[in-house]
Amino acid sequence: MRYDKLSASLHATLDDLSTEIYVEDFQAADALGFDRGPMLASRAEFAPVTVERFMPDGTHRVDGLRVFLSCEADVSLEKLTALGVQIDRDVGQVRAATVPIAALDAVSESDLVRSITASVKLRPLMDFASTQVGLSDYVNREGRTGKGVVVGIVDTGIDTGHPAFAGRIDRIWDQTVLGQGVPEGSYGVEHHAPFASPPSDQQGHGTHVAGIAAGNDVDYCGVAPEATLVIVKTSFDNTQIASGVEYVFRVANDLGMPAVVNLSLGGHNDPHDGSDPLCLALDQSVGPGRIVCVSAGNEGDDAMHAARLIEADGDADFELQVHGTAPTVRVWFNSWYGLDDQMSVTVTGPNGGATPTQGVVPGNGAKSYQLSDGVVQVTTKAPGPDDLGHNVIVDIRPKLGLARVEPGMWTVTFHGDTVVNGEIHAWLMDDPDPNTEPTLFLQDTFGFRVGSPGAATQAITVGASVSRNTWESENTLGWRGLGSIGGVAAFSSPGPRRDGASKPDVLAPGSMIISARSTAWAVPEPNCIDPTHAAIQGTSMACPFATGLVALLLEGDPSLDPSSVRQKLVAAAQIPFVPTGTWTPEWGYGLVDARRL
Amino acid sequence: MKWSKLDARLATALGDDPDGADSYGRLNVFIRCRPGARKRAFDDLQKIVHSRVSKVGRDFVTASVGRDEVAELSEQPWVQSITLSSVLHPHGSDRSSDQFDAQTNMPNLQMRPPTSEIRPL
Repeated sequence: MRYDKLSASLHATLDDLSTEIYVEDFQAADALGFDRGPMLASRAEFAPVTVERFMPDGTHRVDGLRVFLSCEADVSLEKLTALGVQIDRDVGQVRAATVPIAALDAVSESDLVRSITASVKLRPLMDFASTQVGLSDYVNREGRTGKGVVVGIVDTGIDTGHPAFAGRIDRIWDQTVLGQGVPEGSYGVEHHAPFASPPSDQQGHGTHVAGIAAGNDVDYCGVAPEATLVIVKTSFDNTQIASGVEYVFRVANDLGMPAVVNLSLGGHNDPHDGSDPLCLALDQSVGPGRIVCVSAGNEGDDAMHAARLIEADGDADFELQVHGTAPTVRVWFNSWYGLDDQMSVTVTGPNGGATPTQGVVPGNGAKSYQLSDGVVQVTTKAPGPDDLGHNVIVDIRPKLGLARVEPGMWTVTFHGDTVVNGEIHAWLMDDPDPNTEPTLFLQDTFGFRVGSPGAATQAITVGASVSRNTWESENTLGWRGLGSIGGVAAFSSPGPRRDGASKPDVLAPGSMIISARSTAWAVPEPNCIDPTHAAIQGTSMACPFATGLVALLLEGDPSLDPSSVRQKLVAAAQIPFVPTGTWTPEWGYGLVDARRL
Repeated sequence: MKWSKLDARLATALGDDPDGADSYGRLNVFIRCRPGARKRAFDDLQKIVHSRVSKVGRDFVTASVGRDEVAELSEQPWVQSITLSSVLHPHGSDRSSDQFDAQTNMPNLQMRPPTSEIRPL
């Protein structure tokens, strides 16, 4: 057997079939004093799809496995059929097949096959949660459903007609249309149940998120399926997000319920230290029975952050690669260095033109330069009274008459005029055209990718674990994502904050989660599961899992405050084979296991 | 204008058009009040600004303001700082969510969702 060609889950299945169940893992767990239960549950959850046969004596046996075979795109696997292999999808570099157990050895030895990956069927969220993160054990033990708790979703809206939310949406504040608004903001329109003409959710994101946190669905049940939903369809302007959170808390207070608000959103225009107004406002809004959960962000595998350490009179370069495959219409460089340092900045375009060296400029701090490669505005304003550092912004736009920023390597050079700390952090953003290759740092720096409001001190900040990496959509047999099941999702933004504070707090399942599908959403093919469900991924999907858990905690104790909620979640979280309470930039304090709540 | 009370992005936004007035439309801002001054701030603010004034948190007021209003606000003793709003984005994988409009003159700068990780088998 060529074990090196087998996926980890296939290894586990073979171990199962030979009853040598994870012996090494269990021995390691025993040595460290860990509970075997979560490992058993995890293994059951990730069990590959098998072909089983019922025997006359009432038992059943596994005859075959549904697998994906990696091979060259143009190769024929016809020879494998002689081994009893049934090729279910016979095109491309990855073929779907059913392999008899007895033939697995020979298939693995075949030169035609590069690797064999077990097919894992997507399951309802509640099933999934009940195994990987122990939700059903917790629910069975505590008998909680979120009843009497408000779950607030500040997002793209909700499909009020989706059966998963029937009778449980109390009201919606639609911030995106003109209207008289609500006490928390004199704009938008408030809708009360029953909804005669409710706003739609054309992006589908909010509906999906709400379904994970609190959907009541036979097939794909959410975490707190009897919670009361209060929805804010937001414009995503962060001042209005702050008002949306206030709205949810006020409505919950009117209803006499505790509340947890889900914010599956974020940005990178902030100092990444929790000192921006949205983070501070959230910190001030939460309290006993008022909790906010925030997604960490999806920039884990994007080269969008870089840090440099500079010495007095030294230089530090940040090299930005602007791609030329499609027009980039704007590049935005947001950087911060310490209050005690004084630095000056030069920007050099791909063809060598450079701005003058610019130190702190009085007044608004902004100066614009016409370079041969584009228009560059450099802002080096003196810190304001609330700033915990110097903020240097470089805004690169096309030259007059051109539609795109000159592609190539742009360099932002810092010079250390007075250096006490010397640390510089920078984050890159560009225009949102999905057809454009993102502008990235040539040499990025790990971590520091949790922006506002995930950086809020009092928020429960949630990263994503890989919960699925293959799935079947409505019209296509199989799709594949990246990452090892049970590990940190590559896209999950790692911390810490720029000031070193520990963010994210915990992880929850976040890859290809099946949940409610808005009817107004034009779902891309990979995400279609059936007419009322879609599978999408991101820390957006991990966050509502934690939100639902918090709703269950609040059902048991409505007076819990953010600190005590965090303590409970952290105590229930674990990084594999690392002592509880250990924090790392990617895992936070680990994947939440509801059994330990 | 007391530029020292403005964050760099707001200063940049206003400085980008020195001639002035509201050519970008109104800007949504956070106004941080000096500790204990928010009640007075809210009353005074409504005399200066008439659009989308809201309390958030303990010390903050949000409002939709023009350049002249920013200038007047920055002179108020109860105003500690003024910060331009940002347009955030959902952390899911639906690319259609990239279409939100900024209400400020700032670009709608967003990071990409993790769809690039998905490929057909």
